[in-house]
Amino acid sequence: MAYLQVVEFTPSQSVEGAAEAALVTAPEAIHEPLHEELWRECGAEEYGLTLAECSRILTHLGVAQNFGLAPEATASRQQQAAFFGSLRLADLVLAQACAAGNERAWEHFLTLYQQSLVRAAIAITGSDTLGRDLAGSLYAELYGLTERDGERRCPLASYKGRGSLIGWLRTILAQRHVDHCRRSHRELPLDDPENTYDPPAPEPEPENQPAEFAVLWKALEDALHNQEEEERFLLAAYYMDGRTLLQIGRTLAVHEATVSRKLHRATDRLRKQLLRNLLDAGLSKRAAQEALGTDPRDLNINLKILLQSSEADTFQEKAAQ
Amino acid sequence: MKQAPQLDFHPDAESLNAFAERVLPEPERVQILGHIAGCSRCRQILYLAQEAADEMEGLAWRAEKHHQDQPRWGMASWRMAWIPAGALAALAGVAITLHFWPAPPRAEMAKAAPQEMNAPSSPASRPPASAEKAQSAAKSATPKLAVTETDEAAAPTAGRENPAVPELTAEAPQPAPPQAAPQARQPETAVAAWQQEQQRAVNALSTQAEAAAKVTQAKMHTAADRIVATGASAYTAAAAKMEMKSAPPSSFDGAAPTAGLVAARKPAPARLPSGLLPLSTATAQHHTVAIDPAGALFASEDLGRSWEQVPQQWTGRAVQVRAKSISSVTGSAAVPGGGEEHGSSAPAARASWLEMVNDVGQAWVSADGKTWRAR
Repeated sequence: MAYLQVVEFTPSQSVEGAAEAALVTAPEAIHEPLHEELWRECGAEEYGLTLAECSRILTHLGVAQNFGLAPEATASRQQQAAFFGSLRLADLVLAQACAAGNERAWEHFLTLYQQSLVRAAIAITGSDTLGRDLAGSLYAELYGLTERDGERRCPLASYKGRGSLIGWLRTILAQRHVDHCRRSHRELPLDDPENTYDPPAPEPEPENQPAEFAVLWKALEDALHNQEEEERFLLAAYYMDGRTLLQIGRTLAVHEATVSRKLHRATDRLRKQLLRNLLDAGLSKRAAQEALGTDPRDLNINLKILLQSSEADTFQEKAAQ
Repeated sequence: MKQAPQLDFHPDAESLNAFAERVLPEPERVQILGHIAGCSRCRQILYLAQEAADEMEGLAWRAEKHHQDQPRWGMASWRMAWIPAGALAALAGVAITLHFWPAPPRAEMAKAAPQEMNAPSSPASRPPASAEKAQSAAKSATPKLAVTETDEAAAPTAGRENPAVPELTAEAPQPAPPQAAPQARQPETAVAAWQQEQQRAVNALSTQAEAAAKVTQAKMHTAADRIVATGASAYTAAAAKMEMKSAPPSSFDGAAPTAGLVAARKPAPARLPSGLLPLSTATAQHHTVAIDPAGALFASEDLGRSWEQVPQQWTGRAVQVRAKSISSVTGSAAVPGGGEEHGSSAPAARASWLEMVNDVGQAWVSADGKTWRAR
């Protein structure tokens, strides 16, 4: 919730609800001279969006987020201009125009992003067929074929212009693909005789482990939870996901040498913290050193559980519930 | 104590994309980072979106590179096209040069010969035999062509050091031009002598032409053509040189160009009995004399087939021999080959003699080439 509070978005509030709230806001919320300037800047004239239509969209967006200010604050012209200047205004207006059902905007959107979206879907799925299917399903959804409670729902309305529209579309595609895989990875075709159901192995009976193992478990859990977010991400990405230093460096926008250095520092700090936790738990220094030398195979420790919780449902599933 | 990862809800695509594009403010970025550190789903989404972006950027980069390379390759291909084009042009140029290089001299000589033959004022300046006619003579071996060859191949061999020059012109007799003969008021004796010489030349050239025809047919035509042409060119140069050498002093009077006298262009043997090449030759009537580089004088009555050394009757070292004549029409004298013409009517040889010059410029004259007296 804290994250959503930071991004000023509450799960109970749908994107459409936010847009509707913006609709009731008067267009005069934006200073008049800023309208034309923003209209020319976003290039909405290319697909025939008039100044009035563009002003209405921008006003709704600005009011919905109060121009990035606190809810009770009143934005000055400079603050409004700074708010819109921090957004991808052209992408944002195009997405909102498409969500509003502007046909020319939709044609412009297809001209700009159709091929890119298909290529991104193919790259994400690793298959031409699956990629085209994924892109096609997203097209249908973006076009507003999905209706809920009799209303046309378009995911483009949730685009807020913080990143690029194509990046947002790629992320949407990745979300759909990951969710689909997570939902269907246990599914087996019924007509395939070779695929017989292989039930998972039963959970092993908890063995009677020595008491120091419980201490070690607790110390390790505390050490991991006390680590900084970036170090935990590094450990998870490197040791659990098997990402390379270069890939992690691209994700964090740092050089791979920096990632290596940070990773080395994270493991050192984790070891020191673990040793400190063991000492705090009452173990002697020698016993703590011996505990650190324990064969991990002797420990019934699930690092995956410690580092993350994969049992959480997706946002959409939670929202549906 | 840090906050536990918030896994109840996942950040939306907007936030994940903003995180991937690094446009989030630091607090929000840390929040997202804390979430994805414990959420494999969001990490997978992030990875996949990032890989797709990398691939699309790679495609765009490749497309841009291809676009940048394409005109360059186009220019390069045009530049590359110049290489074979230039090579072909050079090859064609070399082939054309090799094929047609001997042709222009032959054509010029072939054209110049009749003009020279029709020009009575300067018979000695006529070019030597053309290679084309020599080849034709070698192939056909007809007397008519042989006569032409004899007339045009009558340049001296002095200074011609190329033994490959065909024998077609080596010992060919040198009759007077047939066109000039009827125009001249030639005595009957001179006419008879000229006809005799002509007949001998025809016979000699016919024999040589037949032999050469066999060789030519056996060999490649192009090689023979080139050799003949080269010989003709060398012959032309040698003739011009000899004509210059045979030019008499400008004070000489009483001599006129005649059809029966062709000084410095008479045929000479390839080598004199002394084993040396002739330095200077001259023929008056049927008397032929030649000087070798050592100063020895040789006389021949059969146009150089057999030579007889003439005992020295002069002082110094003989360096030049030349033929002299007097025109009975104009009474003016001209030096054969000197290019000087006196009188507008067609000259005719009435009397002729031989003249020899020693190394100090003194001259001796002789009527038969064997008996010399100081001039």
